[in-house]
Amino acid sequence: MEKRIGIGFSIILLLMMMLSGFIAYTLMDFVKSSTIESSYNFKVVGSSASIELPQVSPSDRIYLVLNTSSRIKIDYGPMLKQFPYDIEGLPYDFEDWLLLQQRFCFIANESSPNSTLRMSFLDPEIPYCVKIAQGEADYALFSYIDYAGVSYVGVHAKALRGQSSRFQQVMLIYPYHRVAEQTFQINGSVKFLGGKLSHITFFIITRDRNWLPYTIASNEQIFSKTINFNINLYNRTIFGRTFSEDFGKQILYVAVSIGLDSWQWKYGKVAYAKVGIGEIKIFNGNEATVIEPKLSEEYTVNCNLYVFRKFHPTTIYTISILVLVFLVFAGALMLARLSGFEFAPQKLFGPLITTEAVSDPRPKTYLAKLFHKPRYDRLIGLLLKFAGRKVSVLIDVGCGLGVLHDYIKESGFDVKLYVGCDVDKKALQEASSIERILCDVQHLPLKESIAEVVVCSEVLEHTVSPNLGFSELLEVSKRWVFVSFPEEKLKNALGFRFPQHISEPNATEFKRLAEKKKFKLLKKEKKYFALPPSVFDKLRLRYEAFYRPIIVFFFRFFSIIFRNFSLIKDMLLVFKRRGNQVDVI
Amino acid sequence: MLRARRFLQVELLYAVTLSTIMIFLGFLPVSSFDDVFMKETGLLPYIDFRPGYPPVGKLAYHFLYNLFSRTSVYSFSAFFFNLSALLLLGTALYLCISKLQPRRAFTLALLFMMMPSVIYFSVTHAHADTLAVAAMLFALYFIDNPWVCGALCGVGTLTKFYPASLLLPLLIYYKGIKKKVSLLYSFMFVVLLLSIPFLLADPLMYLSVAISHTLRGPSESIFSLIDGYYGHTGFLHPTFDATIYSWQFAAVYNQSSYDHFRYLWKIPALPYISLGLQMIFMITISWIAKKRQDQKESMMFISLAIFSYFAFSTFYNPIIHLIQVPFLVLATLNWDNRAQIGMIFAFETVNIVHSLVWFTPIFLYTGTQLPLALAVVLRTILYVAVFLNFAKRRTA
Repeated sequence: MEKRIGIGFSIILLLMMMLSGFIAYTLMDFVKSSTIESSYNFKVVGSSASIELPQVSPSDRIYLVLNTSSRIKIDYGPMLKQFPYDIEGLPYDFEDWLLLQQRFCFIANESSPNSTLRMSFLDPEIPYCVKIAQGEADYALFSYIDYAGVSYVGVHAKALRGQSSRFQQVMLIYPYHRVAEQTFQINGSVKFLGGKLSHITFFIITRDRNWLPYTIASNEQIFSKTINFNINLYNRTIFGRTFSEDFGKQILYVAVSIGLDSWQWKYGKVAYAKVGIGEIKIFNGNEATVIEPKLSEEYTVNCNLYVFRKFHPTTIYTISILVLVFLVFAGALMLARLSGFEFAPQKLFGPLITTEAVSDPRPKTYLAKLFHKPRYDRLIGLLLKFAGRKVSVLIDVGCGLGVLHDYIKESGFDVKLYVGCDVDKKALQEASSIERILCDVQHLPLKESIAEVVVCSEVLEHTVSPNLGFSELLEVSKRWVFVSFPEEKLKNALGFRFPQHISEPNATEFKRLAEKKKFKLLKKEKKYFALPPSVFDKLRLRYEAFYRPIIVFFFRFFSIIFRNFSLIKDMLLVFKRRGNQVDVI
Repeated sequence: MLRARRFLQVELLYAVTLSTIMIFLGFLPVSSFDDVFMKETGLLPYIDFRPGYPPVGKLAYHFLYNLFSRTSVYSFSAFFFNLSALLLLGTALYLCISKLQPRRAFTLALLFMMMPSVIYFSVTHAHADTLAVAAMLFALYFIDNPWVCGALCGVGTLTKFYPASLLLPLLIYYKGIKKKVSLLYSFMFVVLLLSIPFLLADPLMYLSVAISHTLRGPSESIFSLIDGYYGHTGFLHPTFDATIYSWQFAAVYNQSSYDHFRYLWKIPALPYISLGLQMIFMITISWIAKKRQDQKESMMFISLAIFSYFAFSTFYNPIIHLIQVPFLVLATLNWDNRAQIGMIFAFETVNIVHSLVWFTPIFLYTGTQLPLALAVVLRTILYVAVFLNFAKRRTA
């Protein structure tokens, strides 16, 4: 048998490998053709340009990568929708060259062979990328040449009306990806051309998110004044200490920041400043970089357009995956058989849940009261309903410690003779308040029809032959038989069989036996318990503890909601003898 | 069992106290930006969008975020989810220790749960590390059964990727081909079963999650410092770039030595050295575990193997502490009580120093490098101390 399973498993493994190979081939075939790239290099004179788009499907993504730092507005028409870069937005814009160089992402909504992407260049081309870093501001760029013939990139920075922020900051950022060496130095000049300045600051922005500021000018108001500056990393000190650890840092950007302060202006006036930025030279080691103050209306545009296709599962692919899952499942079953795997939760979770605990029915002791108390309450309710409060002779078969007697007494029953039967000698010794007989339910040493009421609660499942025991109960009863037992098919199937429950009593069988003995089934009640009492017994949680209501609530809630999945269904049957009654002896 | 009951009661009390303190102090998780991005754009995770982590851990938070539109309600729900996961982790650790050293179980499990950085990083972050580690610990607890072990490793791997590292020591530890195959098969079975919806919808996007994860660079480890990379910086966490497959994004964005998510090593040998050390230590320690007659001792060595996986990893951040410490606790159970607790405290102290780099303005004055480098070097010394101690015991 094992050999056959082994061969079967090998075949399944082979099929799985073949199917996986097919799936991998399908995917790889798609991956090869999943990216379509087109490059565009053109010169734009004026302010706009267009790019023809290839045909795309709704789930394809289009990425346009423009190698320019100019401010561009893109009209993507009704068919395309732009994704945001990220929801948090601003903080990242300054740190990632990817965003500084204006890469755009689109999602295609409709397929169209003739759609075009129209780009409008809003500013003249300059070496910098312009960003509003603080407050809300607008800016315009212009060319400025002073009387000595020196060129500048002119920036007209202007605050917007009605904003809550007092400060505004316009930054001209130049991507500079180098490691700062000891000789790192920046020379340059700026010229104040009008308005009122809060400050002009030069920033070195490093990859570890440090912004190293160098103030070039503050509160400047002298028109046409030229400020020459020289910066090296020794310029910047805090608490009199030079930041030597700035050497060796990866510099991402250098930036000139033009700051405005609305409070410098009268109410109703809008803060503005005009600044010219001259040539800036950066020396780093043996390398010198010159940022020329050049403006141009002619743009050299290099851009790449990517269409990224998305995988759409075909019917064959879907079927292959489902077949693969089926094969894996079948393989698991075979391997489990081969390796001798046995689904035995009791063994597995032994240390966590065990059925070895004694379910002590004394309600004051443990949370087992959750199980026993409702059983007794239900039994007493039915006793009261059918047999009445006055009972001449009551035989409690399997009385144990006499807990039911205590309940009956508390509930105000008038029982003339209460007899308890049990096989447990020790338990009988404790149940001293009742008449006791040491006997087995399967062989009751009592006369026929001796008791008005016979009660047998949670006993028959402990016997070898529950039917024999039940027949005995019917024999000795003159009128009423109350019998309860658990139905634990699910619990037993899962491997949580309570070791002392050696049989499984059957209500249908009992009904058949009762009819033979001229008894009628009057009532059949089921009570659902989500978990076996032994779980709670094992935890030894005190019933009186402060969390009792929570546990009781959840236990009952789950027992009701998941009644069909309850591990225990507790049955209570009430039988009554038909026809003439035999006199009580 | 009396101790277990006491531990459960203390956990209940712990949960109530911690909830009160954390809610009072306002230490609640915030929604992660990719969840916000997906909700704003209407993209579906693992189908239209590639999150940074596998689905079991990620989708729990995504579900909570989509269920509660108000951020504050999300924060509370995510907090209680995290707290439940922490309690589960505490219980798993308690059970594992009680299997090896019952006397120390209560103290050590509680000590772990009381550590400030464990509390902070498990409860306030929208990452499911606690669940992943709990799955690993339960796998260790059920070590006798390779099927259960494999299944738990599978669940852990789909929560965060690193629980898959437990497979190597277990494969070496199990004797007999049937057990080894059972372990691997149940692992694959669970991974496949839980991945069916994503495999049917878009397998390439699902695969991209794992591929992007492997392209990540180092972070705050000794390898990171040697390579001259000091933090978790660079290109943003996946947002608009995550709407395409990872290799498609590679076509538009080159690796660089300052991008954590697409890192270019300055010393290309370093990741291989890290991987080599991880493999050598894990295989050697697991082999020792296999040779041990006593299963308890074997479990300790397997824990040490997992500990060494994180010790030689190129990636570290203060959150890794809560993954690493349970295995340190299990691995050092045969140490002297004081030495063990001393070592755990030492790791906790170093992690607090490390956390300062993230959360206090100290780096405004000194730069991030000094405290970070200090923490990394101190931690490396502790690693050396742990391994030397084991070597000493082994030779003794």
